[in-house]
Amino acid sequence: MTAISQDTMGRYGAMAARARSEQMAFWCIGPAVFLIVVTTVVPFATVLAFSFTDYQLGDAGLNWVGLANFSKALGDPQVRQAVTNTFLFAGMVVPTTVVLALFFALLVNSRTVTRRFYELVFFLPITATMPVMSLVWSFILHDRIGPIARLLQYFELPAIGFFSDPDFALGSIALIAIWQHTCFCFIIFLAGLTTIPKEMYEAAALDGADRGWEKFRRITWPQLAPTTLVAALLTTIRTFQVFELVVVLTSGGPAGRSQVILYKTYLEAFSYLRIGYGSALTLIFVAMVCAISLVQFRIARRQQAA
Amino acid sequence: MPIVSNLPKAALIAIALGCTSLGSPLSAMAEDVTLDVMYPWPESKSFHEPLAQSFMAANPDIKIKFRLSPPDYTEATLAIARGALTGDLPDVYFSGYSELNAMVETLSKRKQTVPLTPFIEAEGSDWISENFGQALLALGQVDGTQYAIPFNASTPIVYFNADLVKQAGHDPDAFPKDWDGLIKLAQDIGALGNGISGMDFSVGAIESDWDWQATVLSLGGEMVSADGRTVGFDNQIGLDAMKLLQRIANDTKMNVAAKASAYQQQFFAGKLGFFVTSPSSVANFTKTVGGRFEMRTATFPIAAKTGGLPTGGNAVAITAKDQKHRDAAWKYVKFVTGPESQAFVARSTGYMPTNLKAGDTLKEFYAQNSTYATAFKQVGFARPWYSYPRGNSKEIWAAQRQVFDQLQRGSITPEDGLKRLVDATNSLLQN
Repeated sequence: MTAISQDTMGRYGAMAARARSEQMAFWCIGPAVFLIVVTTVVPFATVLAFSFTDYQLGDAGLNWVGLANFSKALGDPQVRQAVTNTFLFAGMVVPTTVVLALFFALLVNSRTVTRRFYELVFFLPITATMPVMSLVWSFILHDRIGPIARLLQYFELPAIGFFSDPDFALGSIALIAIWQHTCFCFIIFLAGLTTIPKEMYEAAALDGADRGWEKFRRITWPQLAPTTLVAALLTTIRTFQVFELVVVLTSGGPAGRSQVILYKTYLEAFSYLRIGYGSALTLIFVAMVCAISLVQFRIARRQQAA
Repeated sequence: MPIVSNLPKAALIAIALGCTSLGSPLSAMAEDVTLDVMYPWPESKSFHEPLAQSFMAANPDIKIKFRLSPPDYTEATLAIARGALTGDLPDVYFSGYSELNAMVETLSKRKQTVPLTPFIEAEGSDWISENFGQALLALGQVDGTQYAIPFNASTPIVYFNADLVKQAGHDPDAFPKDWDGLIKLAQDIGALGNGISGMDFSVGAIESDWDWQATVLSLGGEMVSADGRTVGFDNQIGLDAMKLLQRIANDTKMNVAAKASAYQQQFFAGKLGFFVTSPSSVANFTKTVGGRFEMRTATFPIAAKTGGLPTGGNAVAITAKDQKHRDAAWKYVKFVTGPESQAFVARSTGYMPTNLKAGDTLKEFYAQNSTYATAFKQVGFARPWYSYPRGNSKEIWAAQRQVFDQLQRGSITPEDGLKRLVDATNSLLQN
């Protein structure tokens, strides 16, 4: 009897302790969950709900329109142009950024005395805010009074309308984005390079792989694969989020040639006040970024498996 | 011992009086009204703040508290729409003329509009006619009801670099008044070389259709048909306007801009002969140019006898909830649109005064500062800046500006451009 009761009490005691422990765990994660719900889940659910309505900011009521906003977006030539431009922009920025950042990181990684200096130089642009830097770039690339325009004039070459020529506007914005993102990726690659054990290079040298290209191909590049994935993924997401550059430099012009999906979403939601349609465009944007991120993950996994 | 017994007797009496009595000095303090005021364009603080200080000195029982200033008229409309939703509207709001329709439409959905008719009637029959011209007053009306009193008003003017005009062999005192003269002058300035351009009138580069409306109205045209259902420029005047815009770009080898900031930077660098914008920037531009070159202003060319110019700027509306705040807000509206305030704003910016009496005060100032006087010379041409119904103006402009960009680059003919412009505008008008 005593043994049974002690056993029972022991079991209940353990269960109670476990319950207390679980309760404590819930209390601990509670604030984080609350914040995520308030700042992410609720706004996202609201956007999702609005995307099925015709709500306009200021309206006293709204109507359920089902998938009408999404079908309208698919048939909207301006949205198609914005999506195409966004992909073109990402196509110019992401590969160039990753290659340049890796190149500079490899160069700086081999420095010993001047390494800190280069790290600082590459880190500075990350601290600058884009709207302000956009104004600086608008002067540098000004087609009449900018230093590049003056250089072209000096060599009697024709002026280039970096932001006003429809054929150059998107490329000019891409150039600035490459400048900004390269610095960010450079830091990531530099951190990745420091994690590669020196012993691997020493062992490879013993096996005859002691030349720069051989070392890069056989050790550095495979070892950097996870870092490259992170760099490519973050750059892609940040590239798709291009907004300030377009607002400050071109307003989506000339003739919509630098119109991008986020700027179009902003116009619909906050300029034309069509919250329903703007919400649908937001979800399309999120779906695009998610799809690209998944594809990048898949490719990286296959490469790792191979 | 009860805590209250420690308080001085006088304090207890004061609290009791404050809570219960009416008409005492303490209750008068409680009667003080604080007005929440919102105006767009943060740089306008330079004249809004001094006006508010003067008003508070004259009306010690009313305090003025400014809300964060939205960066432009569009953002201000957005702030008003949000305020209408949450019941957090300011008491006084300076609405862009082109946004007034949208504001009234948004507020009327929740019965939050405050027509000014009762306040105006209470001022007596002569008050309006003595202070405001009918043309300007109409800028604050929607469907015949006065919702706002014009505060800032401007019609587009030409800013020119007098030094470049002289270098090109022209006389700045005889600045051209028609497009032929302006095009010839721009060609001569452009021929100076060294990266200097003659003029910039990139209609699609600005964030509104102000320059386009100025072109059409100055040629004697209208923006919409009499019934408001279709565009009013699907005619010979519209075609003439398109031909003129293309000719300006072609003949002067104009560098078609995507943003107005591009040619303004060029002007401030002393590399652009002239461009068109609001007179509201006269004071700011004068400071920016400094002593680098002589900046002057000239009137916008008006070709037709019946021609006019769209009036930009803003009107002050009351958006307060209760009568006490509305009464205080009306005092503020009267003050800022009064002759002294208007003369002060005109002197510190370049805006045209909206109060008729301010013109007399400014006579001497204009005689001594011709750069500021240009806008005033155009008062007689001021027409409403047409705002498309259902707040569609911004979307219509987004479609139109693409056509102007292509037109001025020579990618499309004026005939094709007009057709595309008319089709795009009509389809959005009928949406």
